[in-house]
Amino acid sequence: MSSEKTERLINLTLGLLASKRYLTKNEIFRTIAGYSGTPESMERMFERDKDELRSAGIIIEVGGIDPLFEDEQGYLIRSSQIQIQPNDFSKAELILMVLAANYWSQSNLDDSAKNALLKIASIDSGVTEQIDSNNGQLLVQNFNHESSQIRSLISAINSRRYIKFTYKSLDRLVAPIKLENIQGFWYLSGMEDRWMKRFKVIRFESSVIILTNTEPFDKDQMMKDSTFADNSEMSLQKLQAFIRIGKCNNLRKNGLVKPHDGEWESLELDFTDQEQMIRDLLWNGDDVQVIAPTTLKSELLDRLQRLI
Amino acid sequence: MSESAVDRVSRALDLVPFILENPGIEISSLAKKFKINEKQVLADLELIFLCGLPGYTPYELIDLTFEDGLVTVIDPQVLDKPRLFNEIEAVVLVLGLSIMKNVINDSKRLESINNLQEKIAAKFSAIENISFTTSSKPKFYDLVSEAMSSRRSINLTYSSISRDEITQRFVAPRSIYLAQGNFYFVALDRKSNQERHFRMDLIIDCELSDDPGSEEQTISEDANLFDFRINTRNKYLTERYSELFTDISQQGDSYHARGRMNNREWLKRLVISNAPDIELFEPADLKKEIEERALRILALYQ
Repeated sequence: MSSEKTERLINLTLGLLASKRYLTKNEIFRTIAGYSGTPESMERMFERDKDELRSAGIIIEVGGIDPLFEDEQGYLIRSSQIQIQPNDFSKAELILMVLAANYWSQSNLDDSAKNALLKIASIDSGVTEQIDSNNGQLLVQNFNHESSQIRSLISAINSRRYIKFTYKSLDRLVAPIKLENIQGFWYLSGMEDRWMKRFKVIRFESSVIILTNTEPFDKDQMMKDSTFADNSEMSLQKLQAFIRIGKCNNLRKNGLVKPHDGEWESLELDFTDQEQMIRDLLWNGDDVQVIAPTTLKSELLDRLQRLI
Repeated sequence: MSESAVDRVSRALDLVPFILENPGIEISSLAKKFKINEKQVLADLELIFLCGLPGYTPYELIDLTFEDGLVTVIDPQVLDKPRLFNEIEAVVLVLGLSIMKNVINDSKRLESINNLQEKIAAKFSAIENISFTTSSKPKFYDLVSEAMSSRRSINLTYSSISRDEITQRFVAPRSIYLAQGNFYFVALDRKSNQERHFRMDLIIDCELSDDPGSEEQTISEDANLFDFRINTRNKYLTERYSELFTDISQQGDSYHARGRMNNREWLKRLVISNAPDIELFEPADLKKEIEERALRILALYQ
């Protein structure tokens, strides 16, 4: 890492941020500290510097200097595009943001939450000091995802760039559309070929590579051309069973229970996920006896036989 | 791996406004906040000290002092404001605000949260495509929360999943958390003095006790070692209970998972409900009990 380069990048940022008008390359090379050498080498240096600053989220605006000389381009950084302005957030809003960021303090997104808190503390240090992160408020836990992967996916969705990753042993090229957290797991919806598919992020077998060299995809057009992959292996079924009186609380709360005899009650319950239903039934041991569907009953008995 | 120049630039742009708002901050505190060591903080400050606006006279350079371990920015030049939230920070804030909306009661505050979410999301088109779904707010959330903040205990009627029983409990809530979309709380069971986790939607009834919350020490239990082999086709199981497994590795078409658990009834139910995908090795004495239970279930169908 070169300190000279870091110093030049900071000086370039400050120079473009302080300027009230577009600065030409010549003005930049003449006035910003750190540019030296032949015109070609300074040009190459500047192109690399611009790319690096942009990769850090610093927006460098390019504009014409003189309407009569369209070739002459200039560069500028607007404070409103990279800095939080003094009146952007009220004190009440800063407090809400601190509370919202603190929810993540025991999750894998804690690093990003802490960075947001640092920025809030740079606006009003009193707000973050007032609110103790361990003041007994709600915490998000057991968030078993690589935060770098989630960051990459959010970034790719935001920039509408294709991504590559390995999933179920296949290399995938996907246009990422949507990221959802359902019951603690993140799912990515995206277009692979012309199919809209959903991928469970925890099952990615590689890191996510964002294809920054490709053009951003047209999300709206892509949605129009898409075909949804049919994942509906699940059809609605009805469970009929006997459950012991006072038992099987996880089943009875979702079903229709009627008296049967002194020991058992009858239960009717609609379900779609047979796997989950078998697990729920087996969880209750000999407190439940399945009547129908017969296919589910025989699968359940087969699994039990294999335990012995 | 050495740090890139652009990472250092980003940190410098964050350090200056932070120090400006927190004058006289200790270098050790800065190191902690920015997750770097004190040597790196000093190197960053020395670098920032050399930077400024064209002209580069003392009036145009960023001016700061760092003596006796304390740092103050005298003149930040144009770095007087923090950088905008980046996309992931914005997502964390917006999703956090969504969770907050789920648990608050104040309609005025709800409106403020909606406005704030819109304000943050306005700069990032991706946010409308990112969502975090939780179960709806449990009926007794506010009461548990009140018990926790006022350090009081509560009487619970609770539907225990592992024992399939409705139980009466007397507990002192200590913290509330959200895991896998459900709201839970950790509490000290006042009878056993042991820490227990409760899922809020399984509370049937709940009332605040006049008994002040307990400061008693938790008695830790000796948890049993469990040792499973899980078929790879049931990968969900390893994901669902990943926090329980202290050690997990793949061997051919199965995962070898180990951990500690003091609830033997839960272990038995887990093995039977996931049969035949889990093979239990430890605790060895549970194997016989599992087999007996399987035989009792089969007997119902003969």
